[in-house]
Amino acid sequence: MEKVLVVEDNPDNLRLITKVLERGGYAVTAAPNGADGVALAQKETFSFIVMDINLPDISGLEASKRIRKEGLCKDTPIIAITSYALRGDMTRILAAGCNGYFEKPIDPLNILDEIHKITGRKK
Amino acid sequence: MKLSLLGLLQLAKAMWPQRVRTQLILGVALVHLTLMTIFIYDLVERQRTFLYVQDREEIKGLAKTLAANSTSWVIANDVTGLLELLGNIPQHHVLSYGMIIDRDGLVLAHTRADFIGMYLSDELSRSFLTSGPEIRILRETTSELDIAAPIITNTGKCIGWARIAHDRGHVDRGLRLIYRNGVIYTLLAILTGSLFAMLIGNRLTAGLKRLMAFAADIRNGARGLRLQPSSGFEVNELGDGFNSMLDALETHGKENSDLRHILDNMAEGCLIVGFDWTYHYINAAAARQRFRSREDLLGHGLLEIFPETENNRVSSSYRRCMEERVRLHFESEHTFKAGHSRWYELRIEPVNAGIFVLSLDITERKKAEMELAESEKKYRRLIETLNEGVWMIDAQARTTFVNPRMAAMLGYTVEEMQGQELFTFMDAKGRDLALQNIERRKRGVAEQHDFEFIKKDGARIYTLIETTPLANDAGEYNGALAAVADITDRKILQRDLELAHTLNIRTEELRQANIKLREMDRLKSMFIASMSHELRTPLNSIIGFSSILLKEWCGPVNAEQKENLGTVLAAGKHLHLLINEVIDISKIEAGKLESIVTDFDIHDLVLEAQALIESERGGNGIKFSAAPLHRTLHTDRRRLLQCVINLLSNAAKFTLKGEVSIRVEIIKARDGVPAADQAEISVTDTGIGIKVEDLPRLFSPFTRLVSPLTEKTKGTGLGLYLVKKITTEILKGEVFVKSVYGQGSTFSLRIPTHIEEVA
Repeated sequence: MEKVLVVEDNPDNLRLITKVLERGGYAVTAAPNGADGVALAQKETFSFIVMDINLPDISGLEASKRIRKEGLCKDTPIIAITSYALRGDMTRILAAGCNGYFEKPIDPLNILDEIHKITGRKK
Repeated sequence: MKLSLLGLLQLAKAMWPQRVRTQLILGVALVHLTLMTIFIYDLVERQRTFLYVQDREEIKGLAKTLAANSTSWVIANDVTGLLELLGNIPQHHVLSYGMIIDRDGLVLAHTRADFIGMYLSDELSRSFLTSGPEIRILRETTSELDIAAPIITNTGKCIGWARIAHDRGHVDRGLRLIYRNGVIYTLLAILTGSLFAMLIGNRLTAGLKRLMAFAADIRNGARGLRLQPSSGFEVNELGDGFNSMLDALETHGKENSDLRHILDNMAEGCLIVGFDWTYHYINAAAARQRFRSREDLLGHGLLEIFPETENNRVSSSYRRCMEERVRLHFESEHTFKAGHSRWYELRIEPVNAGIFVLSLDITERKKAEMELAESEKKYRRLIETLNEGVWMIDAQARTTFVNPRMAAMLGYTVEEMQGQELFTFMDAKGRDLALQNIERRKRGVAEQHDFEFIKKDGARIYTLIETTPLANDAGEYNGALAAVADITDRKILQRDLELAHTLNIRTEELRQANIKLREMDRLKSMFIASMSHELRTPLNSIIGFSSILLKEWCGPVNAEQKENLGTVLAAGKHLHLLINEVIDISKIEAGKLESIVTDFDIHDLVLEAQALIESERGGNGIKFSAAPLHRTLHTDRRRLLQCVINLLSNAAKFTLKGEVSIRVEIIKARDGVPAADQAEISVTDTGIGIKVEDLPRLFSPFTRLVSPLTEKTKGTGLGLYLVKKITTEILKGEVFVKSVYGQGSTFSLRIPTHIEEVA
C-alpha cells in the first residue's frame, strides 16, 4: 500500500484528509508538527506529502524547504494546504519546493483527483 | 647661318669695350672705315665702267679704220702693205694681236708673222666669218677685248675682216692704283678721327675723374669741400648740382646726427630690425635691456642671438609688422636662456628698412601691478564670498558697488543693481527713512540700524545695516558704504517661536490621531487575516464532513438526514462565499487587492464559468449558450472569472425559464476611441428583469432587491458590488446594465484587453 505523509496539527482537518486519502487507497502517516514531518520525510519514502502551511512550530514552507534539502523525500511531491492565499503566498509556496497548493476549505470529493493531476499519477 | 650671325653678334657684344673713351674711339674708327669703304668701292666701279666703254669705242674705231685702210691692200693682196698698216697702229694701244683675214678665214697679215697664211678654224672666228658684214665684239673680258670689223669694198662687198684683240691690263692697273690710294685715305681718315675722339674723350673723363675723386673725398669725411668750376660746361653743371646736394646733405646730416644722438642716449630702447632679421640699429638702452652690448647685436641676426624668441609673441609680431606693415603695441614677458625673465612693453612700427621697435622694460611696473591685482583679487574674493552684503552708493545715492551676496539677498544680479538708485529697492516708508539716514551720513554719522528692503519679486526682507559715510579728498560727502545682514529668518523665527507653542500642541494631537488611525488600520488588516484563517478552518470541517457524509462515505444516510446534511453543506458554502467577498471588498477598499496579469483565451474563461455554474445548478431547465470568440486577453484572469461567474450566477438565479447567453465582442480602438482595444462580455438572461427605480441601487453593498424570488434565492448582497469594484479598480473597465422589468436583463463588462500588472 502506498504511503502518504500528512503534516497537520488540527485533528479535524487531519481526520478529513485521512478519510479522503484512505478512501483513495493510501496509508496515511501523520505528523502533528513541522519538525516531526521533516524527520519522517528524511527517514522514510512516501508517494507524496500533504503539508499544512500553518503549523505550531515551523511553518509548512520551512518544513518543505528542509525536506527538499536532504533525506529520502528530496524529490517527493509536496501538496500544500493553506487557509488563505494572498498574492505572493503562491509564489512563496512554490519557491519553498511545494508542487501545488489548495485553499481551505478543501473539496473532499475532488481533491484527490486534483492531487493526482499535480503528482502526475493516474488513479 | 643665323646661328653663326647671332654668335658673331654676341661675340662682338662681349668684346665691346667698357670704357666710354675706348668706345668713342672705336666708334669713330668704325664709322670712318665703313663710309670710306663704301665711297671708294663706288668710285672704282664707276671708273671701271667708264674706262671699259671708252676702251671699247676706241678699239671699235681702230678696227673700223684698219678695215677701211686695208680694203685696197686686200684687193691688191699686198701682204706687205697690210703688215705696214698693222705696224702703224699707234703704240699706246696695247694689242694682244691684230690681224687681217680674207673672207674665207685666211690670215693675210698678223702682228705675229708665224700666223700669216694660216686659216682660222676656231669657233669664235668661224662665228663672225659666217655672219653678216658688220662690226662685232667677239669677246670682252676684264683682261681682253676682241673686235672684228668687216672689210667692205666700194661696191659693198665684204672681202675680209680686220680683227684686233686689245689687252685691257692697263685699265685694271689704273683701278688698282685708285684702290690703293683709297685705302691710304681711309687710314688717314680713321687716324685723324680717332685722334680727335681721343682728345674729346680725355677731356670728358678728366672731368668725371675729378668728380669721382671729389666724391671720394666727401665720402672720406671732407664734408665742407665744394667743387671748383672747370673748363667743361656740362661738368660744371654737374658740379653745381653736386654742391647744392652737399649743402642740403650737410644741413640734413647735422639734424640727423642730433637725432641720432638723442636716439642713442634715450632711456627707452630703440631698435631697427631689417627684413633680413638682423639688428640694423640698436641704442644703448635697448642693448642694456637685452643684457648685451650694442656691438654684440648690431648687424647680427635676432633669432641667432635670442633663439628663444623663435615663434613667440615677439617674433610673430615682428613678422606681422614686416609683412602687413601694421603698428603693434603690446606687453610681453620674455624669458632669457639663462632663465630670468623680464616684462617689456613693445611698440612696433613699419619703417623702410624693416621695423622700428620702441621697447620699454616694464618689469618693475608689472610686478607692482601684479601685486596690486593680487591684493585686489584677495579683497574682492573676501567681499564676494562674504556672507554679509556690501553696498556702496555715491553722493547721488546711486549704487556704485554691491557684492554678489547683497544682490542675491534682494533677488537681483550684481549687474542689475549697478547704477540703480538706493530708493529703487524699498517702499515709500523706507524711502523717507533712507533720506533721513543719508542726511545723517552727510553729517558724518556712522551707525547700525534695522531696515526693510523690497526684493525683486516684491517680497520683504529684514536687514541689519551698518553704515559708514564716505568722503572725497576734499572731505565732502561722497556716498556711503554699508554692510548688510539678512535677518529675515531671525524675524520669522521670532514670530514663529510665538506660534510654536500652540502649534506644538496641535501637532501632538495630530500625531496621536495618526497613530490611532494606523493602529486601527493594522487591526483591520489583522482582523481580515484572522477572519480568513480562523473562519476557514471550521468551514473546512463543515463543508468537508457534510460532503463526505452526504456521499455516504461513512455509511448509509436516509433521506431526511441527506436533506439536513445538504442544508449544512449549502450554508457552509454560502458562508465561504460571504467570507471571500467580504475579504475581497475590504482589500479593494484598502487598495490592497493584488492583480495577477496573465495571457489567456477569453472563450476558455467563458466556458469555465459556464461549466462551473452548470455543475452548481445541476441543470434546472435553463439553457446556457456562448458564441465562441477566441481572443487572447492580457489581464487578471482570476478576477475576470470571478466577475463572469457572479453575473452568470445572478442571471441563473433570477431566470426561471428560458436561456442565459454569453456574448463576447472586441471593440477595436480607432483614432484613440476608445483609448485601447476593449473586450465586452455580456450576459443576457430572460429572467424577471429589474425595475427602473431599482437600477441606481443595484451596485450598492448589501443590497438585495425585493422581488418574488428574493425569498427563494440565496445571496450575500455583495455580488454586484464586488463585480463593479473589481471591474473598475482591478480590470480598469466598466459595468453596464440594461433591463426590462419582466423580460430580462443584460449585464455587460467592458474592459481593456490589455492592462499592466499593479502590485
